[in-house]
Amino acid sequence: MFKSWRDRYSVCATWLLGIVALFPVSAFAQLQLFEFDGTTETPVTSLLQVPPVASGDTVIIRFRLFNNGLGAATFSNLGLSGQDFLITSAPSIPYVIAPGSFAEFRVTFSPDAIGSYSANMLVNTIAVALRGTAEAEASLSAGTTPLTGGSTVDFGKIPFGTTTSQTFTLSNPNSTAVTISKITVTGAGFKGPIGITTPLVLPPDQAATFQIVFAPPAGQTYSAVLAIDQRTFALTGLGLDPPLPTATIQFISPSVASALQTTLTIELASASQVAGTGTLTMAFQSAVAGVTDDPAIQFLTGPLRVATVTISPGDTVAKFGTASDIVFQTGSTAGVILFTLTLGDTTQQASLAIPAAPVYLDTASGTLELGSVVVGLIGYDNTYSASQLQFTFYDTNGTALPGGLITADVTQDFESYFQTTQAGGSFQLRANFLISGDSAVLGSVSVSITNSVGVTTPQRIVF
Amino acid sequence: MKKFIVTLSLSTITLWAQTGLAPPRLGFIAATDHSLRPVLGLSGNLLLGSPTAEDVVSAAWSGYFGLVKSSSSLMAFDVNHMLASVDDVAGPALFAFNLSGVPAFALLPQTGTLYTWTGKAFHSLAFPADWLGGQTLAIASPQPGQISLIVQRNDGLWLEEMSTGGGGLVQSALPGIQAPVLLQDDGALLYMDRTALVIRDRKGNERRIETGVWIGEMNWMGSGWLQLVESNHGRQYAVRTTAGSENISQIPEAH
Repeated sequence: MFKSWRDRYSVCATWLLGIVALFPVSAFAQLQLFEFDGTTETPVTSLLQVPPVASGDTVIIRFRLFNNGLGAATFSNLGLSGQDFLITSAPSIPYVIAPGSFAEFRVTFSPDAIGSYSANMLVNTIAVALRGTAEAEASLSAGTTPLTGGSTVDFGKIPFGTTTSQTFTLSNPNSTAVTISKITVTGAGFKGPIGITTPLVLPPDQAATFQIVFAPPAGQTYSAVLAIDQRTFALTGLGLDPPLPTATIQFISPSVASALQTTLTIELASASQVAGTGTLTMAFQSAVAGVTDDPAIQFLTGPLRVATVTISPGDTVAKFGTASDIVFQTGSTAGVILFTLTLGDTTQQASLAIPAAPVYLDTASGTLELGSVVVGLIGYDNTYSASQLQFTFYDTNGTALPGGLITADVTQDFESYFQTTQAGGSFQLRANFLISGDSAVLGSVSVSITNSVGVTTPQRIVF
Repeated sequence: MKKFIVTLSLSTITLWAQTGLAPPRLGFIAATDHSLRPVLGLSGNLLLGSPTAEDVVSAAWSGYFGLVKSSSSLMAFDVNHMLASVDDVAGPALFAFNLSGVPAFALLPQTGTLYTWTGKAFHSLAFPADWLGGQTLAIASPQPGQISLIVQRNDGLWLEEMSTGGGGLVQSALPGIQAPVLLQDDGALLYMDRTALVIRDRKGNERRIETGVWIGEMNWMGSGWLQLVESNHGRQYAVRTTAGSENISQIPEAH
């Protein structure tokens, strides 16, 4: 079976080629005129009856001139004469059509009054008589905008799950009553007609209204067809994904210090209707001159300072993987930790100030050994400004030993250490006191460190 | 290490101080990427250092020495050096240090091989693994020539103590205790009770450290520090077990 008229001509031409191969192929170039409705091509005979239209409406007839021959053919002539018929689109003539190809042109029929119409069309040597009628039909408007057959009504963009409606008005400007037999809306996302019943008889100068609702079930483009008897109108609309709810970075503890592991959550203003992903990043602005970063300031899972945030429909809190919060460290350097949340097109920021503090001693230990005392300190100085180290030795009764106060200016030592360490403001200090004399009198030692903020609480180490 | 000197003369004694500064090092762990890494910092502020070994299956650090089992080798090391190794040994390992933090034993349950540390090298011992009647979960070195083991049997956990020659076996049941467990060299037993780390000394006194997480694995990380590995997510925690200073901090993931 042939799929179309064109196929049939193509096969025929191929068969002929075997017989007349000695002749110039251009002699067999054959132009054939078809009417094209957007889907199907139908051969045009000498008379083409145009579908009836309402006066004031426009119908567009698409023609395709096919070259079914074996060589190029020239589209050399296009003429049309007749009231309310008009060529609205055509290639620049002369136009060469390659074998197997076509040229398209369009003719509109726009009758402005009820009655019968005709026109004569000449395509190269192909003569076609066009016949059309304008009938008394109701005119249609969307809101206050008059619509002609084939026109498009755009319902706009709305979030999916919501609706919008458009009121259509059918009116009869004719001097006789018109009957509307059927009104249908075909296509996903549109509902209607609402508020009208067919068949409907509209007396002259009377009108009737109905509504069509656009209710997109998803975030995509929708289109449908409104058919009023023979006339059709395109309906279109865009369903939008609703925006993600407003997200807020919430710290479990809004007031923090150095050397802290704490968590944050991302709370949503309402349950999300859609899924989404985003990123949460950490940045650090050091308050210590000459110090640009502290590597300990990081998330404890995943990449150091970037976390992926996911939101599923129904969520009221964003997720980090499967967790609803994420743990991070505040490091050991004074400054500000800045969190930036990017979700969709929105960006939120929140910051945590890490205040400068006296030196913090996490552990202090002392060992009295033969001929020596070893004092070990682990702590941090988030100002990188430790300047004075003070040891006060006590006897076994808790009485400060005469001359038992040892003070050292350690400014240069800490400066040198902080310039090279990758451990932020944290440090481990080991003091080895070589003893000459009776070490049995030593009972304990108190240690304190001074920095730019103040003096740390003395740590008493008992031997 | 930066050093400085402080001197002082007292009427009865003289103190001469030499001090140094360094990043605080809490110990070593087998990180999430199976590398051996130092854990730097302090409570609430942990950092993983650069890897010093790869393909690590088991690791323990006493504070002074470390024992590491890679997929094929058993190694002993100190802060700066690898001290000795044994190659072509398979499977994970259990480790024990003596009270001074010196390596004592390494047990490879997969092959039932027990290695003792001579101070310079590993020396394998004939070990009567079949006597134990179950899977060994932890070992300790309570005193020279003695080894303690926690063994998982069908009827629960048992503490078994014997000489390294296999004689003098003493067994006692540990009712109500489940893996993971560790044996401290002073004889203390460490185990998890739900989300609490329990330290039971030899006299039966218990100290609890609430961790807030379900733990599937425990390892010696450093002097006074344990590495805990969460059951479900594999997150790692550092727990300071020093009495009066107990706390837990999450260890950052390895990158």
